[in-house]
Amino acid sequence: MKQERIRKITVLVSPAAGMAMRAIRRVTATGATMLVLLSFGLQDAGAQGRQATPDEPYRIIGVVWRGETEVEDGFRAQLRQRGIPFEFEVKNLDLDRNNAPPFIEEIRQKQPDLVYTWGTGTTTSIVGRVEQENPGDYIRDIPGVFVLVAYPIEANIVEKFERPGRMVTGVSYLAPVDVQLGAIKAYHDFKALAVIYDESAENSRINVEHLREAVPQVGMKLLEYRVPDNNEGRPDPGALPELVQRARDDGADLLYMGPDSFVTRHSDVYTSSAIEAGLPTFSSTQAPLLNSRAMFGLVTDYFTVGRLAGLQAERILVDGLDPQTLPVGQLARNKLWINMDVVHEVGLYPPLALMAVADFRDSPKTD
Amino acid sequence: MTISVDRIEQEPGTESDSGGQAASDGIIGRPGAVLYRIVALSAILLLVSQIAFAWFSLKGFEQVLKPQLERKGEVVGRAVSDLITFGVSGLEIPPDRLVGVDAYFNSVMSKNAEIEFMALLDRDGDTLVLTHNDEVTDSGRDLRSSLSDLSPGGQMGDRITSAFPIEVDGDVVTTLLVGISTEYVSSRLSDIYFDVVTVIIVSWLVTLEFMKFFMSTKITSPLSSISIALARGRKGVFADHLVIRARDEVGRVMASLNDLLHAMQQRYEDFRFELREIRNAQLDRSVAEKVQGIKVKVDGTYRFLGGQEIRHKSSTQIRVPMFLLMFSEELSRPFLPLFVSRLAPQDSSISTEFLVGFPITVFMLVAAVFTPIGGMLSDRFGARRVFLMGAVPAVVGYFGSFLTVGYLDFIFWRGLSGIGYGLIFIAAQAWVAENAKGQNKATEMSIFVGAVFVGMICGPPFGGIIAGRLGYETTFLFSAGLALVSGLIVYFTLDDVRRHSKKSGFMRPAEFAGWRMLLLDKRFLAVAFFAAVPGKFIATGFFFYLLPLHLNEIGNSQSVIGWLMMLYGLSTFGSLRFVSWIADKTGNYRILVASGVFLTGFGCVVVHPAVGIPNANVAAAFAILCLGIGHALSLTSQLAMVQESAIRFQGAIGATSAISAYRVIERLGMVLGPLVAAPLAIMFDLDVAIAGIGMITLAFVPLFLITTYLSGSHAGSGAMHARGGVK
Repeated sequence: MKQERIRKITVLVSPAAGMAMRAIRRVTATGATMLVLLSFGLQDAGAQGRQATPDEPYRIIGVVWRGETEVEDGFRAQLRQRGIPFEFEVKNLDLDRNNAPPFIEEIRQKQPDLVYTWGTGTTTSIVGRVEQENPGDYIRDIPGVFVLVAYPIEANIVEKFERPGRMVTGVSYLAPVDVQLGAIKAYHDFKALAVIYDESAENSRINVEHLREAVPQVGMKLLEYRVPDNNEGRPDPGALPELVQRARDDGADLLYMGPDSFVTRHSDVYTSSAIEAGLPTFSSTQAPLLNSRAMFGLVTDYFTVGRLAGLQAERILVDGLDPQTLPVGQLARNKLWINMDVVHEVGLYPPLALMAVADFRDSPKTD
Repeated sequence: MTISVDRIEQEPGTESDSGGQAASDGIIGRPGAVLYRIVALSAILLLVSQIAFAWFSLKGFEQVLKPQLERKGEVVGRAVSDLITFGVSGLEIPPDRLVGVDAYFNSVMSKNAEIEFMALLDRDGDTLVLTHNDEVTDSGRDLRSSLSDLSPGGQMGDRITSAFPIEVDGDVVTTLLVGISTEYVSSRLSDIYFDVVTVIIVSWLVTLEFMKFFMSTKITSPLSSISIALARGRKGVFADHLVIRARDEVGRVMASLNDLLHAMQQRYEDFRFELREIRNAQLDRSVAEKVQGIKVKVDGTYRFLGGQEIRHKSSTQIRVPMFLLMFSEELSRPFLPLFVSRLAPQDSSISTEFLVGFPITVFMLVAAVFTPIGGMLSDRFGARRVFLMGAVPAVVGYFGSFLTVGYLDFIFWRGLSGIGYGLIFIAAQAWVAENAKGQNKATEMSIFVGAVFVGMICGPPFGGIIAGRLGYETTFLFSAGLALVSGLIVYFTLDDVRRHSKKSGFMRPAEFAGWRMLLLDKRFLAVAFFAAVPGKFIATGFFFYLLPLHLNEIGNSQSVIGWLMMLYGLSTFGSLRFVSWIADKTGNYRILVASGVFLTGFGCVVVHPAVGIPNANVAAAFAILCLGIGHALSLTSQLAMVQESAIRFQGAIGATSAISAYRVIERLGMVLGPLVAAPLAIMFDLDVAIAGIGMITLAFVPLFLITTYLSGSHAGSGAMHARGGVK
């Protein structure tokens, strides 16, 4: 009965009430419904992969950067749901590229059916780039699926989204920068956006380049702060509170967290400094929202990314599609994530229109 | 031998017959006559009942619409209050710190036009947010003050307000108010009012036309035939025979009269026979001479043999068929360029603006070519047959337009309709000329002009309604139907009488010679090229082509476009009598023509956005009124000037020939209109293009004034008043 009335409302006053209705539905909806693939060029009809059995399952070796995440859960869940027999062995680089060579050696020996790589650093150290100086040092002949690579083209991992051009395809997970800025502007009319970033990381550099182009176009000022190195020549997390303070003094009214491993790793310090300074933080990835106290962000949820990667794996393993022509998967919709407890502390409330579409959560309190 | 009532006074051996003539034309028009009263009474009753019926049905509609709107306000309010409840209760945002409420209310209101305002009150009833529709609300301040003393759920002024209290833990923290404007209901209804009023006016005018038509053909004409027969009887003529068209009431009276006449004629025959018998039987010559004397005496006083057929045939009978034809052509007036722009091929190397103007040009060109042809044909075959000849291509053309599939075939169908239009237009004038009584020709011609204008008044608004509700193509089906009815009326009710000695005077080949003289007359040239051409140029370029496009672009419905375009016919028709009076009074035709042309151009210039008339519809309406009054001013006096030109030639060229030459030249302007308007429309916005047409027209004013001044004798003779000759 109530369901029926809601539907009637939608028909009558859509989309205003449509938005409200989505807010109601949000409670039960999962990211699974958002799984839409940009799947063109899947016309290798007739191609068939090896038929796996429970006794002889598909063997997949995964290499991750800093331990397992929800992405791997989603990946497993997707394959399991599809009834595909598989064996998923996960290796951890533990934040260090130098740990890669032994894994490469192991993969060569085991000759799995598929290699799964997490993040830009891991992917480039295991499967290398499109044009690689010493291709022999990398896995080039086994099909690969990457996840959590922010800029696969800029990082030279694939040639094009539509046609990777090598044995590696994957899943893209970032919302385009202009879409992110649209969400930022929809929340509040921010004037100056500050980005604090690790210049040594490729993703961060690419991201800042994108911001330099896009931020002025939406009428905002971009303030850039490079994290200085410590004595060991690595970026210094201790500098973060001071950088946040400086950004505020320079007139920034929003902090932007990009796909930056260093910032993500130290997001507790980062976000609590921001709250202290009374500055809202926007994140383009899920981790700072899920694990620390960023205020809002436009993200794809890791589990969904994992499921999409599982779908890519199925296409390669079961359908026998060639990764060279299998487009990089992309999520059609992103989630506007708002940590309401942080909102209350910062005191910058979301507009009514966003309430109908956003995902409201509470951040893990760090008492 | 056949005679027509109107020409009875020309019969040799009969005296003038003023009584019958008065009966033939004055019956309806004369107050006090029974038929006049019947027509007036039924017209008033019809109008009153139509208005009453429309009033009640619209009231009923309003009563149904109102609760529907209230319900909708309820549904919208509930959806919005759900969201606010989520923010206030679920997210724990204090009501006074909700962000973007105004923007959200605005987005809801932009999709629900009937919501006049939305407001959020705090727990004390003070206004936190108030978003209102500026168009309907007097002012936000007034609304704000009345919100504070509002009882929720109640009626506030002319608004229906719904209140949605929002609770947190059983405590009302804020209240959402949604106000539905009852004015919105009115504005929705006003669209329908327009249509209803149009239908009332049009059906009323059509009914009047038909009533007058049937009164004329069924009652007054037969009655006048009877009164002629009686009048002739008073003078001793019992030789006639009445022609009866129908065995209706009057027809039976006519039949009785015929019986009477016949019986008398029979008795006269008997009497003559007996007289001859008696005379032949007499031996006495003196008695025989006496008997012969009686016969001579009787024959001198009475006439029983060698009479005529009395049939009524008057110029007014053409009025309804002509009106129907104009009506059918004018139906497509408010949308024709829009319709063509939809048909025009997009990939053509010719720009769309030219393609849109082309069918108008073709129609005018074809009509212009067939007008003189129709004149010649009327001279040979009589007006009735030419009218019927024209009705065939007209009907086929409209029907083809209804079925049109593309741009090229539409042009073909329009061309066919143009043939029909050209033929019928001249045939109707020829009919009036054939049947008009000599001295009243101008007045008789006003019957024809009246038909044209009633058609121009009825056509656009009615066509707009049909187009808006049933589609453009369907309108052409109506046009085909009306043209068909027009042809059928002519076929069944008008008598096909072969021509008499009278000539309608349209383009007789012999008079082509006179053209050369006319074309050397500067004054005639000035009138034709600098007054008539711009007059027709602005009619097709602005009124037929740019105006419907412009009115559509500024967001009018087809009904409203039709209404606005009706103003042309109304203003011309309304001002004609007054303008004729001025022309007759002053006799200064030259200045009247110049001011008429100036007025038409000036009206268009005012449409230019730089003039700064805030409402584009008001500017357009002004331009249309200027065009109508300007045309009335200049056209009447133009004809007078043309006839003056003819007079100056002292019989070398007839007035009718001068007029037909003038007609042919003015069609040049009709053809040029769209051809000049199209490049303007390409280069500028439509309102600027209209102003451009106006500027071009204005440029003709000094040209006209200078050439007429140089040609001298600018004092009008004032002898000729051609008030009826417009168009």
